[in-house]
Amino acid sequence: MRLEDATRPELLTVLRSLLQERDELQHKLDLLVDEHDRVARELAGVEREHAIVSQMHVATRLLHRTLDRRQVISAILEVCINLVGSEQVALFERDDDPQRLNLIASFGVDEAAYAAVSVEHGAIGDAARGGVIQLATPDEADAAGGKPAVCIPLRVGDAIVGVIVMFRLLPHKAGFEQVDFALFDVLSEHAGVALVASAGAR
Amino acid sequence: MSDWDDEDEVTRGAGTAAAGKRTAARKKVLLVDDSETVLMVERMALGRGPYDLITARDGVEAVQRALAERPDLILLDVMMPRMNGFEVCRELRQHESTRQVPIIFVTTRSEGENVEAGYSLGATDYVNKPFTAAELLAKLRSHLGQ
Repeated sequence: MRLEDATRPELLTVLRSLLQERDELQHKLDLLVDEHDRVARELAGVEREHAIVSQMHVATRLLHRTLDRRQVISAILEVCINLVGSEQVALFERDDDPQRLNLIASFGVDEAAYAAVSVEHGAIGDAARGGVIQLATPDEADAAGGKPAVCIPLRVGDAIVGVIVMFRLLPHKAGFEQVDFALFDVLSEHAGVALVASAGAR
Repeated sequence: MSDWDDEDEVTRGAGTAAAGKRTAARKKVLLVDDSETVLMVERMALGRGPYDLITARDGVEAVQRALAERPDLILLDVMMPRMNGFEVCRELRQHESTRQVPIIFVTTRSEGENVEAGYSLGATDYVNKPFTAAELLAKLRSHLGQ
């Protein structure tokens, strides 16, 4: 049928057909857009999970690839500084006195002020006694003499052999994210084991 | 031993005169950092992409490798022994072969004045540590036209 020769009813029929086809195509397009958005969200989720697993792998690898105590301690600090993003880190270890933690390494911290810490009080003590990661709220961290951003107990089995303390994050890091919490778990489970193993290897 | 243990993953044949021979699909990226942790994270982020990765552990080695290998892009730490990232950037911008190569600073020092100093020396972009693989890949794709 040539449109030029079509009658009005014929043109209306063609028009209705085109409008219906347009609606069907629009519906298909909407479904494709929804599917695209769903896949994009899934991909973003997979990428987030991959990023977390990758960081955990790097941290675990760093902690366990050597029995040299100095390198193990360096690896612990590296995880805190370069993977988590802290600019003030202190690593404490328990010695013969179970009530005391000794500073064995630090970055950006006044070592004299934290040479030895009691486990009786404070967030560091809470982590050492309770074996639970201590997180400061933004208000707690900002207060004068503020609570450290995070205190991570180092476990070997049921024993707490030390604590990692990150006092402050880098200025551009707004707060902790899911990947950081995963790294805290790695540090809590593996850093203590690596420390003890390196001490035993001396 | 996994491929993450290899320092350099330069494809065979991609030497100093290789820029013309390198396929358009693969780009050579020079990773410069004195932290093995950061290099490990960068390799993991970029290792499966269309990138041939070479590394340098300090500023002096960075200049040597950049002039020898002529990478398509450089990821450059700031605080390094022997020669810091700013000095490396200044040096590379003085050579014809590296004057135009995109240089992305990878740094914790993101304060305004340091960013300005980097750009005034010829830096192309910044990425803050800690970074995600997605962030790093986005930067590379942006500056390599991928």
